[in-house]
Amino acid sequence: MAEQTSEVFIPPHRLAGSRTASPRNAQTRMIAAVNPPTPAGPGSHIRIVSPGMPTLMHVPERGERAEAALRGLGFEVSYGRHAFGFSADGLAAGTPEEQAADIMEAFADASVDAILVSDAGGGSLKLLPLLDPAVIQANPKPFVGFCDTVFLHQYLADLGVASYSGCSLMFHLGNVPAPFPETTEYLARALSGVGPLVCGPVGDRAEPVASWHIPEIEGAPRVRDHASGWHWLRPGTGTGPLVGGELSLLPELVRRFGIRFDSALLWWDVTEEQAAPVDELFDALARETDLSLLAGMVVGANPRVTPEEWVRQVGAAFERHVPEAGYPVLVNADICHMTPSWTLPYAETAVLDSERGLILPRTAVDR
Amino acid sequence: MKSTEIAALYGSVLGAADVAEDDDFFEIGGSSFSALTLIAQLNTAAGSVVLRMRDVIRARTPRALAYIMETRLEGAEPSGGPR
Repeated sequence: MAEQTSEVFIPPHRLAGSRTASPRNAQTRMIAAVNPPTPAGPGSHIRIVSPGMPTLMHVPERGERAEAALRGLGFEVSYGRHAFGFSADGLAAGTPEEQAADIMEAFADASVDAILVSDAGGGSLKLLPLLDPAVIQANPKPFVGFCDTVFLHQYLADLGVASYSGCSLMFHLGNVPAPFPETTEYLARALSGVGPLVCGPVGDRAEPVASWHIPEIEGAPRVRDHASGWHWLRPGTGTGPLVGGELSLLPELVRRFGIRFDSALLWWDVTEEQAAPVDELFDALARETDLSLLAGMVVGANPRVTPEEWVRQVGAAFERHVPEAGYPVLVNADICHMTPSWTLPYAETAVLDSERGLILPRTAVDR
Repeated sequence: MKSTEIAALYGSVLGAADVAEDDDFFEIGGSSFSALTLIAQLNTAAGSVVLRMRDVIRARTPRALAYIMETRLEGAEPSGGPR
């Protein structure tokens, strides 16, 4: 058995997985598909935890609007003990120990049916050594996160526990006067576990609430002034486990977990604060892992540029770094830092088809 | 906390010397990120959530923040603390 390091989170049962001869991908393993989680719906109990920034402490009224939206969907809502907390430097919603403890309590509490993050923003990587995989595996339940929680999603996937990416209490559900209906619809549809989950264009989008600390901005209705619309950079069909996250985080994800994306459907987006050129970010990921053997790629819309310009930039980066790839590539998809947006199962098998869109059958797989 | 103590905290968070009681946090180099640290330290000193980001946006000086903290700690103005 290969030696584990404290920096890499590879479950022992995965160390014997398939290998590749590619130097970049040496000693890495492919993504294994997970089964859909236990369905959650009206009457289910959602626990809010805060593994990222302390926005719930700073803008509790936004949390109250989001909670009302969840209750409107029929969910019961409770909060982790430290969900409204803050760290000494003010950048996180508590110490890593407090944040991890809330996650573990949510998994261990039999009355909790699903877990939703209040916000992301950073720090989830620090929580991984503080989690108890045995407790999580004994009490699997859907975990819903966003952006930086990608490390938690992959950690859970390696335990065979399904999760969802693309929704948070504050960012997605706290809008004035209410969240966009497409956002809640996709959240409810995903949590229901009913298949197939067909992801289509959601319509025009609104910018992220980047200035959430300014009441006049946070409390104003979001304006859907970013045009919707998909663009197929390359047509085709691909099937594989659907994984992904914010582009600048993916190289670290690859390194930490020792994974590669061969035969996977990889989605990615960029934050509204991402100033680095996409070519530079794409290059960083391509240097870390071979992107030529994916089953497909889904690129979320970029809040900073027009859809047309984003297609041009992504297309140029793609042609430069993986010109040989023959899989379908969808750009300006609705898994992004704008809203409304999808909630996507992480590591479940999906089909990307330029004729039919992005489809998740929600069927069990052999692990 | 006294406004002079808050002024010293401004200096500590921003690495600035000689911060006065009427200095604007953002005019002397503060940002939304450093404001998060400032508020965390003020709330820790107060022993509860007395201030939020919006307070530093609206009341940017040590003197104004000291007044808000004193008022809220006396219970005259609800802080809307964590549930």
